Amino acid sequence: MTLWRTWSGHGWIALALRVYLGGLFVAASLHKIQFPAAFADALVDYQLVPYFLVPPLAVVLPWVELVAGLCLALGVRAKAAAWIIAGLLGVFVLALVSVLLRELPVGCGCFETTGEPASWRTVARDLVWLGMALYVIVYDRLAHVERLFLLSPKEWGS
Amino acid sequence: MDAQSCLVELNRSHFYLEILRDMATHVGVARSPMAVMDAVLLSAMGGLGASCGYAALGRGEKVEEATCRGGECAMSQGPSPEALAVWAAKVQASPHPVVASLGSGQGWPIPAHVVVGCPLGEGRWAALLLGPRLDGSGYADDELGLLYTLGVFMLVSLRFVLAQMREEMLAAKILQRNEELDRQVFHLLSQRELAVELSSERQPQSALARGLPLIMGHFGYGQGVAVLVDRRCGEVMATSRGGAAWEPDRKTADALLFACLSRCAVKQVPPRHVEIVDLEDAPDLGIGFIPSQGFLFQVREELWGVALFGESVGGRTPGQDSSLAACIQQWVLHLHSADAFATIMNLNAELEERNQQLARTVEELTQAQGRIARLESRVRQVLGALEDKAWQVSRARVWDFLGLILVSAVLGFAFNGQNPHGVDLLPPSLPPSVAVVDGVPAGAVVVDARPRAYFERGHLPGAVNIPPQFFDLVYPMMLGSEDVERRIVVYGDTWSRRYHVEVARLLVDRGHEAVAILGAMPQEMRP
Repeated sequence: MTLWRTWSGHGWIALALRVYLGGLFVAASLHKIQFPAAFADALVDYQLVPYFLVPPLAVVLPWVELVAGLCLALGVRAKAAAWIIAGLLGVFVLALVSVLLRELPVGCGCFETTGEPASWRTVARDLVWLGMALYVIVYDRLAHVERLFLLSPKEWGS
Repeated sequence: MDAQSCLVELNRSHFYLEILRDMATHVGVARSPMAVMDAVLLSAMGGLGASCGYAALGRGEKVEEATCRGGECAMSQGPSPEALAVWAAKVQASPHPVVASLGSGQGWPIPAHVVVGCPLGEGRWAALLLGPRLDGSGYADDELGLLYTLGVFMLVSLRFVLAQMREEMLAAKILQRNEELDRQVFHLLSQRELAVELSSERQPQSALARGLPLIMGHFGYGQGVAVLVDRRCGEVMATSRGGAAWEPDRKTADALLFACLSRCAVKQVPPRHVEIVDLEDAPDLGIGFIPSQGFLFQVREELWGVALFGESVGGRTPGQDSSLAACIQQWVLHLHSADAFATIMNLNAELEERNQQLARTVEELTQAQGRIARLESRVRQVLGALEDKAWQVSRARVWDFLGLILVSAVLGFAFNGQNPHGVDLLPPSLPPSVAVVDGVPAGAVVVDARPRAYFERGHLPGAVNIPPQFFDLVYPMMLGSEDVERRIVVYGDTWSRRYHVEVARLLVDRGHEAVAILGAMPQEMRP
C-alpha cells in the first residue's frame, strides 16, 4: 500500500487523465452550447428538473462543462474543476440510473442531444470517468498553468 | 839550536805570519766560496813556492766549482771519479781539515803533491791541491803545518761565506715572498673593494657594468668586455671598457659564448664555476681587440657569462692568473647574488600583485557572499510564498467553485442572448383567454401535448397528440379543419415542461377562441 502511495507515476497518470477528461468535457459542451434548446429537451426527458429551471440550466450547464474542462486540462483551479466534473458525472450517473429504473424512453444527451439512448453501458462509462476524476483529485500535482502566475512581480522582488 | 838557526826559524815564522795576514786580508773581502778558495790557493802557492795549484768545491763525488792557478792545469778534464771517491770519503770522515801528500797526484787536473781538504757539512767539501815546488824540492813538515793552518782558515772562511751566502739567499727569498705577499694583499684589497662596490648592486646588469672596470683597473688591463646571456629568456647584458662600444645581439652573444666554450678544457661548467678560456693563439672573437685572458662562467642555470681582457699594461706577474681567477670567481658570486636578488624582487613584485589580486578577489567574494546571502534570503521568501500559493492552489475552496460556476453562468447567459438558437429563460405564460378546467367537457377536442413516446404509453380517450415541437407540422392535419369556436382542452403538464401551456398558446395564436387546459394530469399518466 505504501508502495502504491509513493509511486512516482501517479502524477503523470493524473496529468494524462486530467487532459483527457478536460478535453472530453470541452468536446461534450460545444454542441450543447450551440444548441441549448435541444439540450433543454434532453433535460426535460429526464423529468428531474422543474420546468422553470430547465432553460437556465440548459444555458449554464454546457458552459460549466466547458469552463471546468478547460480549467482541468490547463491546470487552473484544477482541483475545484475536477471536483465539479466529478460532481457532474455523479449527477449524470444518478440521473441515468433514475431514468433507467423508471424506464423512460430518453436519449443520453451526453454529447449530441440525439442518437445515443440512455443505457447501463452509459452508466458504466460515466462511472469510469468518475473514477478518473477522483484519481485526478487525489494524485494530480503536475503541469499547472496557474503556478506560473502564483507570485506577482512584487512578490518575486523584481 | 844555534843563534843562526833560531834566526832562520824566526824569519820563517815571520814569513808564515805575513802569508797568513795577507791571506786573511784577501779572505776578509771575499763574498763567494770560490773567492775564498782562490785567495787561499794564491797564499798557499806564494807561501810554499808551488808551481801550480787547484781549488775545488764539491758535493759528494761531484765537483761543483773549481779554479786553477799556475801551469800544467787540465781544467777541462777534471778529477777522475776514483780520485774523487777516495778523497771525498777521506774528507767527509774527518771533522777537521785534512792534509795529505798525494805523491804523483794521479787522477787530478794538476800533478798535485799535497792536498788540503775541508769538510763543509751536508756532504760538501773543499779541496786545495798544490803542485810541485818551483825549485823541485819536497814540502817540509813545517810547511805542511802552514798548509794545515791555511786549511783551518779556509774551512772557517768557507763556512762563514757559505753562511753569509745562505743568509743573503734567505733574505732574497724573504724579499721575493714579501713582494708576493704585497701583491696578494693588493689583490685581496682589490677583491675587498670589488665586494664593497658590488655588494650593494641589485641588478646583474649594473653588477656586470661596475665589476668590469674594477677588475681591469686592479690588474692593469686596458681593454675588456663582459657579457651575460640568459638562454632561458634570451636576454643579453653586455658591457665593455677601453675600446669601441660593443653591444652584441643575441646571435653575436651566443656565437661568442660557444667560441669561448669550445676553448675551455671542461665543457660541463656547473653554476657559479669559472673556467679559463684558452687564448694562446690570440683569436679574433669580434669584440674589437685581441684578448689575452678569458673566463667563461655560469651564474645560474641557463645564465652564461664571458669576460675577456686585452693585454695587461704591466705584464703578467707571478700569481696574477690565480688572483684574477679568484677575483672573477668573486665577481660571478656577486652576479649570482644580484641575479638572485633581482629574481626575488621580481617574485616579490609578482607576489605583491597577486596579493592585491587576491585581496580584490576576496573583497569581490565577500560582496558576492553578501549578495548570495541576500539572494538566498529572497529565494527562501519566494519559496515560502510559492509554497503558500501552491498549497492554496492545491486545495479546492468554495470560492473556486463559485467562481467557476459564476463565470460559466455569465458566459452562458451572455452567449445565449447572442445565439440564434438560444432559448427563452422564462417559461411560457398562459394566455388570459385560456381557462383552466378540471375535466374534459363533452364535445371538446382533447389534445395531448406531450411527446409521442409519452402519448403512446397512455393518453385520454379520443385525444390527439400534438407535441409543441411538431405543432406546425401536425396541427394542419389534426385540427386544421376544426371550427375555431369549438372547445379544445389541452393537457400535458409534466415536472420538467408545461407542454399544454405551450400548445394552448399556439392554438390561441391560430385563432381558436375556446381553448382550455386541464388543471391536473391524471395520476396514471404522470411519468
